[in-house]
Amino acid sequence: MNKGAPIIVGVIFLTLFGLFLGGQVPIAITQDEVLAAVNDTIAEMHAQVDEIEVGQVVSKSIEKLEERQKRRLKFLVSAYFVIWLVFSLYVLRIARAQSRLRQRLDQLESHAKRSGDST
Amino acid sequence: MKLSQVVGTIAMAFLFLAIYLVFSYAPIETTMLEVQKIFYFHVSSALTVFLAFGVTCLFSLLYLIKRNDKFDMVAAASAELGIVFCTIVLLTGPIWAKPAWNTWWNWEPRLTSTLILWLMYIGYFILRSALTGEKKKVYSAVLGILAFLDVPIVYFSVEIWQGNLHPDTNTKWNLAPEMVTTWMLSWLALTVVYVFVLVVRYEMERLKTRLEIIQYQQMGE
Repeated sequence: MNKGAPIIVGVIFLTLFGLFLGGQVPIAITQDEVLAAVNDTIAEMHAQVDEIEVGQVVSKSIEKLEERQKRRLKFLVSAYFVIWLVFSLYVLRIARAQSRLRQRLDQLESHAKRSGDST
Repeated sequence: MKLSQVVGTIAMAFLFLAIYLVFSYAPIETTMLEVQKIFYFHVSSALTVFLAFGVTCLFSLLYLIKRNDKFDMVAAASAELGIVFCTIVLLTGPIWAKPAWNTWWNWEPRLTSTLILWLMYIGYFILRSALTGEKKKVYSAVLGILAFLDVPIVYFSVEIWQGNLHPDTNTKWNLAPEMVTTWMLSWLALTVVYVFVLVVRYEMERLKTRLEIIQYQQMGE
């Protein structure tokens, strides 16, 4: 097994994961944008409401939703990180053991060949 | 190109595709949202555990009948892989459980029986390291068969002990077709990875045996 196999697997995983996170990051909405949107909606509705209060409620709700999503993503990232860590450590262990075995085998075979030549 | 390289290339391609499907193709489930994406590799790993320990059981049985060392090598290699996949199941489970059940661990039937399964196969390797020669192979073959009895217990544990956290075997999964495709491909990917590492581990065991023969011959000289 190639010694660089775990690194290759890791790089592929991180690339794909980066793409995933890049595409899934919650849309950042600024306080001003929220207030402007709330004001526009209230104006369209012609209703008597406290614009500032409604704006605060909406932006607070968005913050909460973003926090919850961040928490969920944290668990998701941790789970896939653990999977990759276990796989990589195991593959690394096998690769090392295999190269040690091959080295020892080569040594013994060359030793056997030398002693065969001398006799 | 060696067999292990061919299987390795296929395994990498399937893994690549599975990860892509998990994160970009499968829709976000409505109850657990993004966290549900742990399911694809968690459940597939659990199924690969059953396969790996099943292979260990089969080859242990074949060893006891035929007394061929090759069967013992396959059984041990498969058990090692089973432990790796079982470790993944036991680690990803709590990570999923925390946001889903609000607890990292619960002594519910499936979790407990899976932990017992993992411990039994750890015992298999402790036994192998404690013994040598024919005794090691025979005793570990017997344990490899006996430990497999826990696999159906893990599978039916929720029904047997009326667990209420994991779904039982009769549960109808209401998964979207995209989710089913992603799950099946993830399962296939992990199975190919299992086959690939099994081939590599088997080749390693053969190398070890060759090494032992050469060492034995040189000692004789």
